[in-house]
Amino acid sequence: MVTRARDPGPFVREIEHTADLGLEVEAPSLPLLFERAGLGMLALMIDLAAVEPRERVAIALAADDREALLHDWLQHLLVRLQAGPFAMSELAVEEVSERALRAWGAGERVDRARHRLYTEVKGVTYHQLALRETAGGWWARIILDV
Amino acid sequence: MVGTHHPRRLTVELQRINDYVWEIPRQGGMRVPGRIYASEKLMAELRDDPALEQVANVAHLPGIVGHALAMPDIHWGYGFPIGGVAAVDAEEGAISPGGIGFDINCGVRLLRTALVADDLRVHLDRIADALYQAIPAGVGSEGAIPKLTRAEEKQMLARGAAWAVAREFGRTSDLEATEEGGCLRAADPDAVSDTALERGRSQVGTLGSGNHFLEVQRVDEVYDARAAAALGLAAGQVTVMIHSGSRGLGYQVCDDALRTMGRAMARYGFSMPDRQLACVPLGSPEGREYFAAMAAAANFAWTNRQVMSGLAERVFATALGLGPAALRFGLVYDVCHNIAKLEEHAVDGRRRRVCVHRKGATRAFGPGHPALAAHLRPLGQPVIIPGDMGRYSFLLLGTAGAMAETFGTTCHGAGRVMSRAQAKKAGRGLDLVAELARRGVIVRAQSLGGVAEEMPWAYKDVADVVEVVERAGLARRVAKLKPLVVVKG
Repeated sequence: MVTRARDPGPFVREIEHTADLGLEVEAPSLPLLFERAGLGMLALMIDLAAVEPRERVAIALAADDREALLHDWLQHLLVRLQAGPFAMSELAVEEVSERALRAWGAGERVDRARHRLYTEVKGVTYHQLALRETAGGWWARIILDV
Repeated sequence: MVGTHHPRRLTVELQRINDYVWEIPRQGGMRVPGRIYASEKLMAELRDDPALEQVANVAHLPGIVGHALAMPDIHWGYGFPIGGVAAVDAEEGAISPGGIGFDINCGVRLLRTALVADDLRVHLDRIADALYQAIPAGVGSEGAIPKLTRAEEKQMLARGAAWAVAREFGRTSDLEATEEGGCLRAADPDAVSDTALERGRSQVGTLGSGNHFLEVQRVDEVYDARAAAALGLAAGQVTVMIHSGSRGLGYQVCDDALRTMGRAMARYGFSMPDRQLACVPLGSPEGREYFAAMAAAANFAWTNRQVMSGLAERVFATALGLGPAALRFGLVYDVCHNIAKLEEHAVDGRRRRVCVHRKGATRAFGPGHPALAAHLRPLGQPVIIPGDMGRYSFLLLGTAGAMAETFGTTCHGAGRVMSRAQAKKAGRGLDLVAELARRGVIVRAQSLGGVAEEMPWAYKDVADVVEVVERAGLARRVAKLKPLVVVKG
């Protein structure tokens, strides 16, 4: 499965936080939750509608637990966007376990002539970070430093 | 879309000590009491805010001495509250990256000029455009400094603001007016990860987004003419204020350390109520490595602000056809408000070496402090307190009171009262640029959404915050500065 920025959203809900930016994400499956959280966060920083999936990159991550894995996944996408600068408008999480993840993303290099940039996210915090299985699937809360 | 968020709301027990000081008594795992500086009005707004619980959480830090402190601009942060201060024993205490924040050495500088605001009015639109063009915001923009090589970047991290001065951004005298001379000697560029180095390489001289800004201002009101004159300021004069930090490099140093410390802290027998408060002993290998990387990130931030000062000066020179002698750009002072510093303070009647974490709080050393340059020693340290972009900012001086009560610390800004989503909602349907123009402020910004998030109604009135720190004796007012031009990322 692939989640595309142009799929009907919204992927995330913004929650009230005075200084920073909080997101809530729900999805029927864990891979989908990771994909939605990723695109939801990237969409805060750049207009993904103009980001073409020209180039595909493989992503493999390992972490100490599932919450840390979600943190590292978002942090990875953030760093790619800021350091590449490479934006992704398609994400596919092929495998996600308690402590590891294998995925790919598709996108292109940021071009300020074509891409509108919004808020800069400084970091993905661990503050009140939560990832839980629910009756309908999975739910997560992430607070970003903006 | 805005959902409803119900964070765990502990009603924190609060005792009033005097008109401006409130105490959270020790309870549970708190090692010291908490103390909050606030007026009754500000406290009423805070009563249900998770920030108070965060002050209690900070009091759990191993080795913390005195009180876990919060300044009157306190608001809910991640880990530490914003406006939070904690001093830990330099030998036995813990260092916590969450007590400094992602934006290491986020700070503010104030530059004076020889220009008079009334003479500049007709040029302001042009200057606003030129500043917006000259000061890149960040991701994907072409900076004034071409992407550095690894070796150049490491040199810059070791040298700090002097690296920029050597490249003709500003002048040597600026360094005397910068905290630590614009360079923390503890910096070790080799303690900075490759990812952090990569994130920083093309960002020297970039502003960033969010609440970062460059403003052209007018000295609106002077409260202490003698001190203002000693700092080269008088009513009606044009100043430039820059608020920015260590950009992607600093953010990554923080993230790297949180990961490392999250794993290491159990080994040291530490446990904290919030994962974002991960900490290790200052003297441990992880603690020393973070301190060296944090210092390098701080040096990045000083270089960044120094480069942007130079860029702003060039814009004024070109726009007005004036040389340096006529413009007389010079730094009043540069403060950091997200940092940990090793300092000596009196604690319970004896001198102790402590590591002071300041997250959204500003050093405010009083008169006579040896860390101040000779021209500032009789005055006390200048402290720059930016307000929201529609109102005003303040220049203060540090006091003996701050030395005695708050480890030489005061507030850092207005403090948010509205979330970004609420602020956007409040601005819906309004022409925000016209609204600011009505207040006499010209805005140039990359994103209108960003402007909405930073509108005056999203913040406390900084005058209320400054009144508290002045009445509590933590700083004193020198001048009020009104924005004429605001440039935002």
